[in-house]
Amino acid sequence: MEKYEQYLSDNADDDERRAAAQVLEGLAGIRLEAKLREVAAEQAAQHRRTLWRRLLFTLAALAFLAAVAYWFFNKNVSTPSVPPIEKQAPSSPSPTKKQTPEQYKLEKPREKPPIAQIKPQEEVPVPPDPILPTFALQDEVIPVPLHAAPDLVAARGQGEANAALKALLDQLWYVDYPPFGLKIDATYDSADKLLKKRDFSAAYLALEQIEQIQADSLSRKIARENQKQLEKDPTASPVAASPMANDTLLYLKAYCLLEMGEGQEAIFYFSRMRFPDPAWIPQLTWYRTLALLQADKRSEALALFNTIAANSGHPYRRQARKALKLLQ
Amino acid sequence: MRITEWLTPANPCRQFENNEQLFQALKSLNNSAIRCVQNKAMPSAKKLVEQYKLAPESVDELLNQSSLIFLRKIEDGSYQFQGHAPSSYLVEIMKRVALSMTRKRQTTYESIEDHHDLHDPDIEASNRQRESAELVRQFLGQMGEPCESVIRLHHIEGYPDDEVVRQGWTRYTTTDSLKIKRSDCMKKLIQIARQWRNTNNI
Repeated sequence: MEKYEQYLSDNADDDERRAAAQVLEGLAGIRLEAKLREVAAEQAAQHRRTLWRRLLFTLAALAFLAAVAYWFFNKNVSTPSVPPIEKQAPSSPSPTKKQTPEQYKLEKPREKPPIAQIKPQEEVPVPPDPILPTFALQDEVIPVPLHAAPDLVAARGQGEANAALKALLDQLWYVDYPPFGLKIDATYDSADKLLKKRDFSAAYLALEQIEQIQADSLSRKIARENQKQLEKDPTASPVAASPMANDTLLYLKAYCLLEMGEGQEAIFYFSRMRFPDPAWIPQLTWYRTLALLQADKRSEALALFNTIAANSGHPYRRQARKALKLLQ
Repeated sequence: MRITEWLTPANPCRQFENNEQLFQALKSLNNSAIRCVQNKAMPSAKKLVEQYKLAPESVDELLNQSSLIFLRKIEDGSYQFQGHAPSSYLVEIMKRVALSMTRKRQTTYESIEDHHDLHDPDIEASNRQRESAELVRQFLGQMGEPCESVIRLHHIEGYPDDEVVRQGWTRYTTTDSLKIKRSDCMKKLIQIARQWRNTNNI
């Protein structure tokens, strides 16, 4: 018993006892109110925590669904070398106009004939890839290339190595004309017609002529400008005319050389391209890899095949996996 | 932990095996026990608010006021455990509080005399306690430090003396000196309350 309780029971008068009762009642009331406030705060904190957990769970579920959807739709996007086969396949109508790579990607799955309709001799079922086991190739079917690779035996002479390389390239010759995203204007009309006829030697000559005309025109322009400059300032040093080929010309020449079996030369032109259009890049990389293979730079080609195969968004990834399998 | 458990609020009733355990925990003002009975009574509170056509936001007020009466009755011993679920008793209190809330609403346009015979002793006691609490709060404010802290720590927050000394929450370094000071402060508080009662002729 505390001292004040002793005092209340011994000496306090009625007034004091009543006042003490009221004080104790008030203190008990405050204690209960404080307790209920504490409980309410605890409850609110728990509700907030649960709300955050639900929000996190919803976001995680949405992210998972998005990842699954991305993986699913990405898996179904075909490679760009398939359309030429489909265009010429008797069962599918040929497109009336050129398609951009984006349109092509979107429309591809709809136009693709059912697997059952593809002739068995045109199918190359690709087994699971032992190099990159996460690729899941079991059900993928890659049509054989539309055209054969250039005749290396004729260009380089007889030899087992050349014959083997030709056989390998025949299976990987996913090479189309015109290249994706390449805008061919009137300047290249003559070469364009020849390339469509697959007369690569004549097309290459036509491109050489175009390059010469462009270089001459550039030289004349620079000479005129130098003349003007000298008239204004006789001490000024003249600007030298340097050959400046544009990326379209370089791409077309590289393509021609690739189709002619001149891999080393093609690599040279591919490497001279300064600002290639981003839309060209995937196909350009694939062609460059084939050129490396042609030029017997197998280790560099393998590295590029690996890079392409590992890129789940690359339109030539399945072809690259096929190449890796064949190169094993 | 299962994902469904992680996504739903923890059930505070889980730690009480039976109604008797729950009642004992309520007696010692255990937070989980209070949350448990409030959670159980919440659906009834919503139903009553709807039934008596009270404002939807009065659900919390109804639950809070009823819980105050309920806990006071457990504390003063007027509610004894007889094997029933404590939440059923809380729901019974809620019904009376909800009724009184409808009466409070009606007094704005009806005379109080019409309802004097309907007064509920528990609700009146609760109102009286609330008024006393308000007065004590005011008196504690008048007394200032250290009396306010010394009384609050023991009588309101319920800390044992040795913990108050150990934590150094007051200037008193022994439990004896703390007790002596608290007793003096309580005497002072009672005197202030007495003076207030005399001034107001109570």
